[in-house]
Amino acid sequence: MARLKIFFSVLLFFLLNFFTLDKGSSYKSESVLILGEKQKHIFLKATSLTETDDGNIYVVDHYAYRIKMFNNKGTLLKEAGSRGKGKGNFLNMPYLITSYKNNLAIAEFTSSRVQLFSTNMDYLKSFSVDGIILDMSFDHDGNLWLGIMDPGGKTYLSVYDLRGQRIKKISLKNNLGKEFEFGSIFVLTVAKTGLVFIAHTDLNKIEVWNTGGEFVKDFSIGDLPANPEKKVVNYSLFSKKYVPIKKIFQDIAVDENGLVYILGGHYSSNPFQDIYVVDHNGAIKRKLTLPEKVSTIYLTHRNEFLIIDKMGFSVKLYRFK
Amino acid sequence: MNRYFLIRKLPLLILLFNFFIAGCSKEKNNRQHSEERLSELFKFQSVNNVLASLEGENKAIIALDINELGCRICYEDFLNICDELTEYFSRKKLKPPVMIVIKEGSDLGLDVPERLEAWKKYNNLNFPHIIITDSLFKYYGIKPVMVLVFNNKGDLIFAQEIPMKGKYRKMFFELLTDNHTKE
Repeated sequence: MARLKIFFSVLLFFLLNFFTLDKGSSYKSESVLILGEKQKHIFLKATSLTETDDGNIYVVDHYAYRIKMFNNKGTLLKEAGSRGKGKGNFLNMPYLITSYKNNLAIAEFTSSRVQLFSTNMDYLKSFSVDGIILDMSFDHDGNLWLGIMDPGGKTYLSVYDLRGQRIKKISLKNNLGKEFEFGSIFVLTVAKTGLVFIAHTDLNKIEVWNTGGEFVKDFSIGDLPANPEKKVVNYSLFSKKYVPIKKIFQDIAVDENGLVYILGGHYSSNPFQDIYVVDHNGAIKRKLTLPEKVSTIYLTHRNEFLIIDKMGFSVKLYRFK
Repeated sequence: MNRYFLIRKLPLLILLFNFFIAGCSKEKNNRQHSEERLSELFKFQSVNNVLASLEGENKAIIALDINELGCRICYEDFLNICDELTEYFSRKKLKPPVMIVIKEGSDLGLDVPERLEAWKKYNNLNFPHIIITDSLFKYYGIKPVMVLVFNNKGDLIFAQEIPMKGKYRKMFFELLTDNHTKE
């Protein structure tokens, strides 16, 4: 009798998993817009994008040292920035962009400088933060939440206002161990609900904080391993230092209703294509699969996906049916 | 036991030793061969029909491989070097004897002419370029990202990976000027 119970429990478990997977694959995506479709090869390598309230889309073209502005029909309206030392120029390649009302914040690669532009692409001001910027997002009070790596390799959250004054510094709950060369790299997004979601790229952990700086909870995605593969980068007589060589998560976005979309990395069934949709408690609502590998996901005001393909050659808008 | 060892294992050890010696000498020959052929490469027209001849206008040629763009520090230094070269030679009112070597199928897709033109325009790169295949890159031993200088005879006289430190930078410019002024 006991054996029969075990058999039926196992059978039930597999059946449940089967139906969960089936539910995930029933969402179909369609590409509704390609930015710069009429002008092929418009991006040398797109790395980040944002949409403003008027529906315009701003894309960072990393290797072109440019920010490119498109309307919601995908037509290129304007470009700004160039390589150089002047105001509005980039010393390092621009890498990240985020927006709040009429402000665009742009960060350069491996830099601690934030440059503010108007949505009309005019340079406003720049300020330095306390380390290298890993990711950034505005909250709904116009404060800039930044993932930071300090010169010692430690990673944490910092919050700055638009004048460039630091408001908060927050140490995260999860991090890589001391045997790692650097702290955990992470991506972040801020919801309208006032919650901040952090996805560690090298740990299967999503942290939830509120904009007041209080820890809410953390959770993992069941399908994925706890840690990625690692390799030794630094030997000494008594210790070894490692770096992760694969990613568990690639990007994170949040929709108007507070649902969180997490783009899986190397360990997903479809690497860099699977998106885990979870609520703020970490319960998986569905799993979406994009038709191509992507590096960045962004949710528009209409809850459509703006994506940058894995090579950074194109930006597309997808709608899930 | 010792006798057994000599009979059964020694020939194997000798064989392995021979392989080792042969491997070392092959590597040395390959390196020499690669350096010789690397200069020959620039005597021929490239796949995109840019004349890159040591007999022609470019008495000294620098090959800048921008293949592995995962190294963004290398890429930024590559652009800095290009800027320095443009400035240096325009000050001397000379045409920079510079050529950019790009690997076919590069991460930036620079083997597509439109992308290549956009890349050169965005980064103010006015040097001629050639595109060579991945196998040629391997064959000639070009490592990403690298600066190469040839003398007027076509011998490789300087090879340095980017990012390039100050003393090598100085040496590089000196060699280049020497080559150019010996025209």
